[in-house]
Amino acid sequence: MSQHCIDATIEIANSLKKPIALIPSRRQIEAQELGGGYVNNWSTQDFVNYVRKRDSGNWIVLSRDHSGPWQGNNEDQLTYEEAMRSSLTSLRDDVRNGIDLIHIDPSQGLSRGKSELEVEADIIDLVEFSIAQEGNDVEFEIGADEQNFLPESVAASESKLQRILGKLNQKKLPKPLFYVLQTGTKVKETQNIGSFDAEFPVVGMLPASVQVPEMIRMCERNALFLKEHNADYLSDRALDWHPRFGIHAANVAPQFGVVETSSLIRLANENNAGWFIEKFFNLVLEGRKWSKWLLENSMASDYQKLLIAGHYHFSNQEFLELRAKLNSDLLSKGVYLEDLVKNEVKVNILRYAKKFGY
Amino acid sequence: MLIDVLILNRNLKNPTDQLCRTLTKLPLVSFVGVIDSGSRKSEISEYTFCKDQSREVKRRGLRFNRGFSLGLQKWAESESKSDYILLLPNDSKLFKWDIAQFENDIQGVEYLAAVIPLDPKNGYNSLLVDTNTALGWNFHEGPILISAKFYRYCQMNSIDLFDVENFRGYLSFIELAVKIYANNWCFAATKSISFVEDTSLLLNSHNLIKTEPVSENMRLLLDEGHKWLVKKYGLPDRWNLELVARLLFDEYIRVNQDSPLKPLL
Repeated sequence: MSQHCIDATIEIANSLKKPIALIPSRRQIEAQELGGGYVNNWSTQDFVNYVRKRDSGNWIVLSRDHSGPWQGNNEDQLTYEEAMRSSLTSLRDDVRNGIDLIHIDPSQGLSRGKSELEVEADIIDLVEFSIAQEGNDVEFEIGADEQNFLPESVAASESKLQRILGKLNQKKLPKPLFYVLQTGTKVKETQNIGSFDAEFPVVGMLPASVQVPEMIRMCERNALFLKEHNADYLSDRALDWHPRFGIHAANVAPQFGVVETSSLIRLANENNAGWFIEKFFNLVLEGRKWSKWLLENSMASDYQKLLIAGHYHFSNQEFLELRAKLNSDLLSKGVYLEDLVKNEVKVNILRYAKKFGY
Repeated sequence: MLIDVLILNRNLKNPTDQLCRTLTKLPLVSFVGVIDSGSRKSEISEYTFCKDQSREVKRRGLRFNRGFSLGLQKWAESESKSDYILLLPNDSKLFKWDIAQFENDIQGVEYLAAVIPLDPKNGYNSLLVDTNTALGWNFHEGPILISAKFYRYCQMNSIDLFDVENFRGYLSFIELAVKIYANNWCFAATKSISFVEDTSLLLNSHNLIKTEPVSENMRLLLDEGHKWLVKKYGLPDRWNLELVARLLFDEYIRVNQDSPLKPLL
């Protein structure tokens, strides 16, 4: 996510007059109290104010991705109590700032020794906490899409869901709008390596055409919408099949950040601004934000690492200065850098919008 | 229950013979034979029971669909009394053979047409929690058990199990699922029997086998396969053929709710 991505989305949603959600993670946009996020160094309030001011038709659904413990900046070393406290601070700020849809996701607990039942109890607590912050208008999304999970049967997902729905109902808490399930998407480097778009079997994953229709039936039986995560880099054919399967919603990121980086590099290259690429390279390679996206035994070149992680540095002061200089150099040649970059991001968002029937 | 095994070989005598020796020792295996796919003389398996040595096959091989169509035809002429024919590429390695469990799994399933022995890394394994064998429709090409009864049914009704025009076998098992469920038979996957693919053979020995390198083979499989799919069915992509198979499968499940085998999902 970046300012161009946000602007492009607002423009597309308002010109098509269709709802599109902007769904930052806690690392991207965060409560001021917790230091803000890496997107424009914005707090949740800055983000909400920026979008609301520009979204004249009110088509943007302001959303929060992965709200829960150990999902914020520098939380890896926190104890459960500390991580939960930080998560509640973030959540309270989301609700008070009028975020429309919150993905409640305490699933990081599973890799830290928490049981399924404890994680489910956290979901209930987090929803209850949101409502207690006068969040009666907030919609919720539950479920996790940890990419290392083994496929589970629809019956197992349904019984998990029904346990949660039962507890929410007991406490007279609202029913979630979306259920996140693994549809066969998985992002590594700049590819979708999941089974959804694969012609050959993917180890540990099920074919999308087997599991997705069953999941949709299950969601419909329980009056929820299915939300897909990691829909980046899917082919046109795979996207065509989203409405045909009946997938209700999908998250796309980090593809648009990669598009923005690639566009900046291309324009710098075309305009002999090698100095920009070289300095951007150094910044990104040293930052190592690309490492979590690499495939096992990755053969990614330094250039690919730059593409993968460039957008993490968009708010870095040194980068901002480089970008401003590039912009002014290109402007003197009659090249409107930021307009061109935003346009490329827009074209890529539009591909998804059109394929999803917008 | 008795099982005959047919293995497709092209220019890999030693691993094929080794696989045959392993399989002949397994319980309930009554026959192991090799279909030779235009191998050089020195690479023809000692277990060979049928072969095609035509110039075209020597040059391009038979591949799965042509090879096993030939093998099954010869098998039918042999008047074997076995109940299943296990079709194996020669890069298969035995992982599990719990045939007693398998017999138990499929007891009472009258119209079982084919069974996929699951590779241990296959995602379906995690769905087989309370059972070892369940019904499905979307399987990738590899080892497969064909019911002799179903094969004879196909012969009687002029149904080709595998399309020999689909040279590299693109979506062959999806197409097979369509034929199976359209005829109200069923298709299962099991973890009671399991084989793994020894990928090193194709990776390291494609020159010896006289075939394309893996990446080139995959490219040709998709390229030729997409053309085959459009030409035969007018379908623009795999998902459409999968949709046909899924709808027929759903219909089978709806009509056969008392089947002892349950769906995978």
